[in-house]
Amino acid sequence: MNLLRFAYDNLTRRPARTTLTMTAISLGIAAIVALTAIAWGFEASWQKANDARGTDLIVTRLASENTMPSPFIAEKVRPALVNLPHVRQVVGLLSEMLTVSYDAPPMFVFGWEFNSYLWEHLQLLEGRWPESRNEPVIVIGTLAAELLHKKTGDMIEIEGVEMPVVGIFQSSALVENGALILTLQLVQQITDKTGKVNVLNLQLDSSASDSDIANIKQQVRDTLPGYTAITSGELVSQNAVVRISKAMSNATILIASLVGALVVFNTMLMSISERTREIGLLLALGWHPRTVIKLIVSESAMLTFAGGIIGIILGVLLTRGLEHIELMRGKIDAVFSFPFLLGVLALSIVLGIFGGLYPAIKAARTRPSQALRQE
Amino acid sequence: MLRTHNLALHFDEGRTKALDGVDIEIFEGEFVAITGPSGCGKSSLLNLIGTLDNPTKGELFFCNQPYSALQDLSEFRREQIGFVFQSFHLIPTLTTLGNVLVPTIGRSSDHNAIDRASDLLKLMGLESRLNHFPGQLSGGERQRVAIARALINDPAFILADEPTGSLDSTNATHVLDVIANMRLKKSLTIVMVTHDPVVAAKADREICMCDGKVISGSRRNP
Repeated sequence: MNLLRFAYDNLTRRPARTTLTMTAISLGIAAIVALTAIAWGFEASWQKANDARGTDLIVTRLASENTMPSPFIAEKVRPALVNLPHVRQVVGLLSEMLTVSYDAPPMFVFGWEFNSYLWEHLQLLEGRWPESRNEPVIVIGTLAAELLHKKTGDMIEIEGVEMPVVGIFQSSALVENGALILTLQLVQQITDKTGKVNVLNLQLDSSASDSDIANIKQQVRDTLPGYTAITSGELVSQNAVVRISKAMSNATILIASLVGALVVFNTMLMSISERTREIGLLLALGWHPRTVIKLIVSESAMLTFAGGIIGIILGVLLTRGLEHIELMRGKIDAVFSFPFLLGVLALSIVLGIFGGLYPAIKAARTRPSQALRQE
Repeated sequence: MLRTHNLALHFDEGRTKALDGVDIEIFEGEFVAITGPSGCGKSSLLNLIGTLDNPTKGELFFCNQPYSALQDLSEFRREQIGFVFQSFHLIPTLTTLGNVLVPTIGRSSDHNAIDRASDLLKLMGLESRLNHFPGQLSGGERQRVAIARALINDPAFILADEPTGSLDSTNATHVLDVIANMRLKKSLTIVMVTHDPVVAAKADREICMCDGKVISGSRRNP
């Protein structure tokens, strides 16, 4: 018989309360896991899309923090970029989130410059690519095809313009798989943003070093007031949606931690109040108050450890479930890193220790003679 | 072995005097019964001897060392005292063996506790009940488990508060026999609170109390 075994027995002797407390803890942990994984996944998914395209730097409006940066006239900026050292291509991109079918969720519609490097990473599964910058045709990602129930040859209407699907592609980035891609000129025309882009993508030659990239960033700041050149990682981390989702996940961690600690605190306080006589007995039998503290804290830590494991499993299942519901498909690609999950488990144990500490100290201060008299 | 000097225990700012100037002496190996009517201070005296309460006034001595000089009362209780209570105080979710082992939990250096507990339960005639829970035992069996628990750390003395108070006469006799046997086998000093004259008659000496004072038997007859 050791202390941990005794603590475990104390928890299992009150199965209803133990289950309820573990459920409350596991729901909090599940919320932390789900929201954080979605926030990270959102960030990772966009970064993956930018990286997959082979973009080294992105030029955008300085103050823009929207999901897609605010549009600007490309030709006002492009001339200053094309002659910068190491710049191979400057390619415009315009993006919109649009409803293209009443029975499907809103989808990303990308306008990419015809014949630019942006298209190179996509794998065409069937059909063909657009053949000219003004050809009114659409290529769609595999997930978009599934969500819209479209195949090559079908028609899709965007902002009142009906166009045929000429190809279906696959990308390593989920956000592109769930998107529709047209030529830049076509999207500018359809969305009344002639000449505008959200970003200008810069592809540099292979000899560009980190210091060259830093130089280009500095030159953009100097020569193009109001614009900035940033890496895809910087663009994504500055993105308002990424920031909001991270703030939400941080808030959830804070709130769930507080609620979790309070739930454990309440449970352990009730538990020791019911077990006053037993705690008095332990002290009478020669248990050191420190050992009583260890017992109560072990019980609360075990409770939250189990709640943490269940919560992590629930959180992963919940997120995977969300990824597959129609409204969310293609929009979230949750990231579950092992260190993060370990961190969550550690957090749940810390919650148990903190939540159980005061009840444990209270229990250790029990006067055995009084406790043993209690009915 | 145990001695009290002018021991007092007051409650309600001195209005209630549970003990008032108690001087007794108990010798090594003695079996002493503390008797008296309800509320006379028997259990209060036992609690003070067992360090479960602090005296308002006076001093207790164990082997001539004052209790007030003890560094760690928990350790003193664990090493020197075995408690037996009227209502057994067994933990319902632990088996017989588990209950006997409770005083050893948290002692990292105690490697043969399970063997000792098994031997004690065998001495109590409970070898077939090791894995039973308290709810599956009779009153007499439960009290024998409690006695085994009191002996697990090989204490110098046993403090028993009405150990037969919740038992029928057959079980009470059995439990008293067990206590008497253990006393002989382990050279134990036993201090037992009882209001039953038949039980008290089994002791070497009877300390009789009334209204918080010792009225007879405070010293061993020469």
